[in-house]
Amino acid sequence: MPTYKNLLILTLLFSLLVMACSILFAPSTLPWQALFDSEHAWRQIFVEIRLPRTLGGFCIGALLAASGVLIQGLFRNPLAEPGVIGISSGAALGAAIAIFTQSALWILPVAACIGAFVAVTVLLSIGRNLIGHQLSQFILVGVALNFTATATLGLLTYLSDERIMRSISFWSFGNLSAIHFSELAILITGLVVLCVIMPRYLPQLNIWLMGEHHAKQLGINTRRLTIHLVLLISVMVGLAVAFCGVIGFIGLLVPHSVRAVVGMDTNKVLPLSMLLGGCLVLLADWLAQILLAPAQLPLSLILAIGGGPLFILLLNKVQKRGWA
Amino acid sequence: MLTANNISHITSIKTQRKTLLKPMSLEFQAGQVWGIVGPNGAGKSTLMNLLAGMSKPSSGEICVNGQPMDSIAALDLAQQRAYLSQQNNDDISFSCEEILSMAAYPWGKAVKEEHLQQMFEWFELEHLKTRPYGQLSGGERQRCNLARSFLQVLPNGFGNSILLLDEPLTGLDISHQVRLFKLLKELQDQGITIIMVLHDVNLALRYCSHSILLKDSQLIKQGKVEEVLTAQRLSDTFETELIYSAIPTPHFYWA
Repeated sequence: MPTYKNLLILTLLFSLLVMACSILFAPSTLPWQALFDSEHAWRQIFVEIRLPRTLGGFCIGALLAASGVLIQGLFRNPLAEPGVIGISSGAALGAAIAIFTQSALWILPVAACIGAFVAVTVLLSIGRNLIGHQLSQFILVGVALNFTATATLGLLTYLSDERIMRSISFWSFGNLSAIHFSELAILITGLVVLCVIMPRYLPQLNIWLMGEHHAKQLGINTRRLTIHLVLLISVMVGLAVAFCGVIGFIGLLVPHSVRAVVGMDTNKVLPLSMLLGGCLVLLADWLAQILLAPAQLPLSLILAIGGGPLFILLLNKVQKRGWA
Repeated sequence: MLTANNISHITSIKTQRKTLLKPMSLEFQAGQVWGIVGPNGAGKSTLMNLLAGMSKPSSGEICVNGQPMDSIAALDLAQQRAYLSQQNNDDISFSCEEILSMAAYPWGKAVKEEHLQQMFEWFELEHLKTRPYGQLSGGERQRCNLARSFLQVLPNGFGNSILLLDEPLTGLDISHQVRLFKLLKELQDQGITIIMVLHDVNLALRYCSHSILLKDSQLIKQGKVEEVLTAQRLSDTFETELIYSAIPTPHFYWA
């Protein structure tokens, strides 16, 4: 069994490799010499399209995987995932309202974060009595929330003109093609800030997973922890959804696979999940670009085709064996 | 030392007010082992929750070593007392070692290796330390939980610590029950304060120095164990005929 440290280094190297491949080969091979030739037309493609798309996609994958880890922790429910329980739809609704009102670029992520925040808060207040005891009932509350948000989003598209409708429908499927430098800058800033803030919450999150009673007994201010986690999750999901729309299952698939290898310790699960989440999005994006080329498939489609059946398998496993 | 001055607990669910604990004053001194005894639903766990500072009493005040509990920071309190409740999440896959290392949280630094080893030895956990908690048997889980409670206050020195254990024997086999009580006896000599809920009146009689008898949210009697736990009082409280015998050791039996 490799140690956690080796595993982290290995995953990091793998992530760099995936990113390099994504830039050079997705969807078509790019002559690498062109990168150093400023006259070359390829260079423009590299700098203006592939680099932001790859880095942005990686950031989004990392954010979604991390949000999965935190959401599963907050709700003490291994099946919780931003896409499945409606947090992503909430964020998309927030983003759509921002588009509908034709606000500036920076408003978009803020509106998405607010949308996600409202969704988590609703879940927390309705689902509170179900936490930890009835896993599938809690998921049902989330599914209901998901329906409501998606339907409102649909309603909004009917109310808008064609141009706005196009950009709103883009949000409900997930696509990396809208990520350019300004979007990338916001994403990277957000991710870096989150990476600085998050580590201090991880020991508390581990204890929180043991039960609210135990966390309180150990001197953790559980109320404050809950509020901070809700804010962190909202920012993560909001940022991811604002720039690429709703893509599900990353937050479920990745943390679960990681947990199967390193166990439940959030200190280990989170960094590995973020790296692998980034890789998974890039892989899915590559498939989305080549499967029906030159048409681009929505990312959410690719992930849901694999993620849906996997969710059913997980549901079965979790009902039987819990987190293990 | 833990003192409770005229504490009571009342909850209101919707408009209905329910008295979970009627006013009572208690004093737990260093080096005493208290057994809280009473029928199901008597308010034992409610009392433990209040004493541990998990919920605020509706009236009255609790002091830890002379300081009002409200004025003690949560982390400082966690350094002075550990509370093992019955509300444990069994649905987790942390390893036993990971769970123990969480006990160092109030101290803000990693748990000392020698302390960890001591717990492995006391509770015979060495061979279980890498196993996921969810895969342990009920008794093994309880040993792990006991170990984390002890570990939480260990850096404090047991002399200044308060341990609140709600039914510590749950799931333990006889050999581990005896081990636990021997251990408690040793720590008692070092000056620890132990308050535990026990269902077995004979174990309370044998191993506790003091006892609290509760019934219907009310304090029936508190004080030295042999004064509180008498055949007459127990028979009345539990509505079951209990007979006292001093042979071979003081105990109660029933027909």
